[in-house]
Amino acid sequence: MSTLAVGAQLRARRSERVPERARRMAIGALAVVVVLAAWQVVGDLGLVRKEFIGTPLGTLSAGGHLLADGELWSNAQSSLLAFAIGFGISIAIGVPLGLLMGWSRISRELAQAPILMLYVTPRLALLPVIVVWLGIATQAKVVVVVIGAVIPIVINTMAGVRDVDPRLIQVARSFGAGRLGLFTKILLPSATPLMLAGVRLAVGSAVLGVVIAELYVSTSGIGDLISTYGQSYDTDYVVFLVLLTAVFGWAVSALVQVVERRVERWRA
Amino acid sequence: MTNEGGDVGRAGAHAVEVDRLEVAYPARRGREPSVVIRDMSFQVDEGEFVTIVGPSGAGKTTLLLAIDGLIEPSGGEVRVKGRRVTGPGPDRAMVFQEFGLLPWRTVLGNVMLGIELGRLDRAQGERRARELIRLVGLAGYEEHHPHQLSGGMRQRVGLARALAVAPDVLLMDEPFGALDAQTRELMGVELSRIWELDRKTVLFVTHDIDEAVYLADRVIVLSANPARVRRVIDVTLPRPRTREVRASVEFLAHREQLASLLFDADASPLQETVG
Repeated sequence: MSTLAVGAQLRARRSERVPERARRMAIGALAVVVVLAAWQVVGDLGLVRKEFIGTPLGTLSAGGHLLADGELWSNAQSSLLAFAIGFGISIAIGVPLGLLMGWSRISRELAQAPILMLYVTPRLALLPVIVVWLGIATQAKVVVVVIGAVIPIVINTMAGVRDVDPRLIQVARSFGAGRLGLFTKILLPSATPLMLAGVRLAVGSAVLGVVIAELYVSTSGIGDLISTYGQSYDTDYVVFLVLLTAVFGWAVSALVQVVERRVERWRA
Repeated sequence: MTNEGGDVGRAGAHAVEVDRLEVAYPARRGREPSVVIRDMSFQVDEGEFVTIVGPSGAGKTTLLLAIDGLIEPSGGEVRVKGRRVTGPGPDRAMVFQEFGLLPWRTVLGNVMLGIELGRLDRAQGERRARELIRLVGLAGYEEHHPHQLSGGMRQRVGLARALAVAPDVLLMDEPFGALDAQTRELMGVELSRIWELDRKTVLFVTHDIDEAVYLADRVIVLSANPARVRRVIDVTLPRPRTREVRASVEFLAHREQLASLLFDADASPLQETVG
């Protein structure tokens, strides 16, 4: 049977599973509802002090307050700015560096050790130095973001380049490709899936970087809000902000995944 | 460019001339340099379909890579139309055993690769690419990706891609080796049909004795370790090579001659010329 006929058969089977998929989603939604209900009850009945875990309804109400008096939006803007700049710089540095390290053995051997050391250094440990250097404004946050986010991008991009099928390089050379042709027509497209995976992995690191920097040294931003409300035991506010951050990180990550899937239509 | 004009191509020069070719891989720690090809000489005329057979590891792929300019000889030289080969060029194109298609490109994109790299006219190139896609029997599959194609179809793309740059010489490195036996036989008939339309100079490496005889005007038999030309056999079967030819007595005779040459100690002296 030809590959195309087999593919058609698989697609037919997959569409039969739609009712099964809907059932799985329903079960998942039910589980979430059960957890939320239990959470609310535990708080209301005083089984665990509300200061420790908050309640779902309390969390929603806290969110409502934050939105209403504009506190949320102004701080979110500050965090978003640092995130966007930091993430953008991470990509702008990480991709070319990863490409270079993948392509040239010398640069790979030179840069690998420092990057590994940076990878294992906790960003918090570097915060005091960064603050002394750049103060407690957006620049410091951006640096914290970049330190963390650039590494998965570099490593994955580098892996993407090194992973190139050497036979494809031979094919391109046989058709007269020079170094530029090899780079644009073989290396780049071949490395793109791994590169995007690196960008996706960097999202979590970037979000964490903003919040961490703000928790300790900032006077604005979501992390700063978390710190303030945490200190006054307004747990519902803290829970809401943490969930908001998590949802944001997930959303950006999902966006990258959409791009990944579009680019990877050619994978079997 | 890639063909040095030491002596400008002479009219009447062979399409491909391999002249005392030697290819050695450099010495590695503690080891001698390994000589893969030594003192190999043969000529191929324009419009000839030559198949190259020999035991595994005989350096057949190395020979094609040297003719394509991807490997530098350590001795002797290769000339195409009288000009020495010093690197890849638009006058030669290769079809690879493992297809070598770019998975992220469509069929059309893949066929266009050589045209893009050679910086030929894009519009004209695309027209030719589409014609060739039709010629190899893949009309309608222009927007498909390689993973959606069977092995035979992928190799058709490889063939179209090579033909798209209008080379003088077509080099084929066991192009049907990765296909099942049925597809292989079918592709052989297809290739013969396509070749009849244009009669390019073809060098076709294969393990398959039937294939070697069926497709060729001449069969070059190599010896191994290091590789050199052992015998050249003329194939006097009628053209075009239809499937009926494959069952004919003459075909079996040629096949047997080649087989005994490869497998037995003494070969039958029927119709041979030493290249």
